[in-house]
Amino acid sequence: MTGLMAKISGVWLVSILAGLPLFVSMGLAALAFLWISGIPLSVLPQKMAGSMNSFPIVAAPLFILMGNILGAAKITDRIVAFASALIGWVRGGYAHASILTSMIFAGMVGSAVADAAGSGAIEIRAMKNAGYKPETAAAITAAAATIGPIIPPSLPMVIYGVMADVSIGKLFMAGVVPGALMGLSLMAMVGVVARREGMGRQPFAGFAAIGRTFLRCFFAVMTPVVILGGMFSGLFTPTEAAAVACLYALFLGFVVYRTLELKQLGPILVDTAITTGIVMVLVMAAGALGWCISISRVPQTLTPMILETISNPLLFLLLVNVLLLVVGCFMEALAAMLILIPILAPAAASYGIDPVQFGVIVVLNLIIGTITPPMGIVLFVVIRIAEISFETMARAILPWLIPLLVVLAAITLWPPLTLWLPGLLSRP
Amino acid sequence: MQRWVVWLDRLLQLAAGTLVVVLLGTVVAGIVSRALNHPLSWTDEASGFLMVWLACLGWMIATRQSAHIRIRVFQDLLPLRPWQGTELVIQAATALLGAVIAGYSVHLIRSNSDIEALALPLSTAWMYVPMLPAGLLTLAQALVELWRLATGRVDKPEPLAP
Repeated sequence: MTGLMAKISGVWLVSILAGLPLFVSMGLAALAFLWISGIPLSVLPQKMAGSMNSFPIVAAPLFILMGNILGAAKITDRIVAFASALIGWVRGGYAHASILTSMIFAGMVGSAVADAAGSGAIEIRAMKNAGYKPETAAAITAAAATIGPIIPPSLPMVIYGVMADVSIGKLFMAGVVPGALMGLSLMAMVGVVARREGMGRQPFAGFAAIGRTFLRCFFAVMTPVVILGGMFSGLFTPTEAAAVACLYALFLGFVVYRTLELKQLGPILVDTAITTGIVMVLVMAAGALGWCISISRVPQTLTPMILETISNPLLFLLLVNVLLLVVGCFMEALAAMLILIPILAPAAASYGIDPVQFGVIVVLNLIIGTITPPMGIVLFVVIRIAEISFETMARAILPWLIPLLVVLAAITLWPPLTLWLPGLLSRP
Repeated sequence: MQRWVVWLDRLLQLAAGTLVVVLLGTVVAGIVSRALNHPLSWTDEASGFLMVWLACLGWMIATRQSAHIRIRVFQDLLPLRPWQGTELVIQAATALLGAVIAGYSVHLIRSNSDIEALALPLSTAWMYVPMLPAGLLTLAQALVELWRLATGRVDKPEPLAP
């Protein structure tokens, strides 16, 4: 059966590259396996539906809903004002403020695209008005948007947790330090290039302005505290935390900031359903294909082969990084994750690599793929905002990959960067 | 015909939006009932069922809006004729998957109709019910696209990157 699965996988990968919708390619690969193996075809819809019938996966649409509510409530403006007052006086202040805004906004949205679309327009406009080159402004915004799915909440981490059977709460906590490091490393990069790029500084707004702008966005900044606090105090499961965060977001939009209107709720709900559909049909098809991969004993066959070829866990992780970075250049992050998790996660476990650390490494790799040409989905978002060509953007983003790759190398080489915080909070 | 399609799209969006609210309400009911020391036994199971329905409705709307994720970069490099040929194969493959999902969902619904869920007074067949319209809509949309291709009503899209 392993040989059959290998042949089907070859045709399946070609069909993906030929332009077949990803869920169709995965569904047909599963269908071909079932048909040739003589397994009843009713297993296909059964496994597809079964992969949705789980309480942890419910967190995904709820986090999408929360992000949509906060996006519609225009909370970004307040965060940008606070970030500018706090750090705008340094050389390259607008760039620093943009990165800080993304770090704060990351606690409210769980995807890089949502981060870039939600805060990108205001950040890029501010940087362009301050005399930054449009491509530099767009590159900084795109690079900073990758922090979105690393700092919790994170949609890819929910999907990874469900697929690989890893604690979503621990994955969330494991993303905090790498997310902060990504922000700091991008700020360090701004520090390096600021003078050469002619980035200016704003006058210091004063402590009163910092305090005032902080108070204006205080309740929004508290969103991740509500999510993580609820989860780690034992009050909520991750799914329940997502539901509470939705209610909190509605409270912010309707009561605290009064920036939401009732008529916006309809489009928010429909948008949530569509995003859920696009993501979840992939998870459904991957659920069916994953079942086929497991009964064809592909992981059991491949893992010893990998272990025999690569004896060192660190070398395995480095090769996984290279593989995921290359795959991320050509494939949508979520799809790549769904395809590769059933093969890579068992191999990583055989090396004794912590599944939480491995999860963060996988997610970070594939999120970096969202800003690498030719298939960087975040790049497509920001070039429209910045009104620049894709070629210009593709060149401008390259230096900003360096700090993110440094963080990736750091979390690969030093597990405590990802495991210290979840370990600390999980202690009895 | 066009009016019916618009009506179907609106109905799908209304149902999907309502399901998001019901799903949120169900999870919140679980939290509140537990906080009041009267935990409801059915909220987790109901959330799972609603999730299947929401995923299928979202899948259907995404199908209507051609919003499903595809890697078009290589296909769009092809000249018009080969592009149309690959698109024909792609839509035929999509129709096949939709037909299989719809057909075998009927079998699943029948065979599970007498099995009751654990905490809900419902048959487990309800979990498979949304797979049927999702499969049918996938099939129908692909057939429409095939017809449009055959009658020359589909233009090759412009490349994404300007």
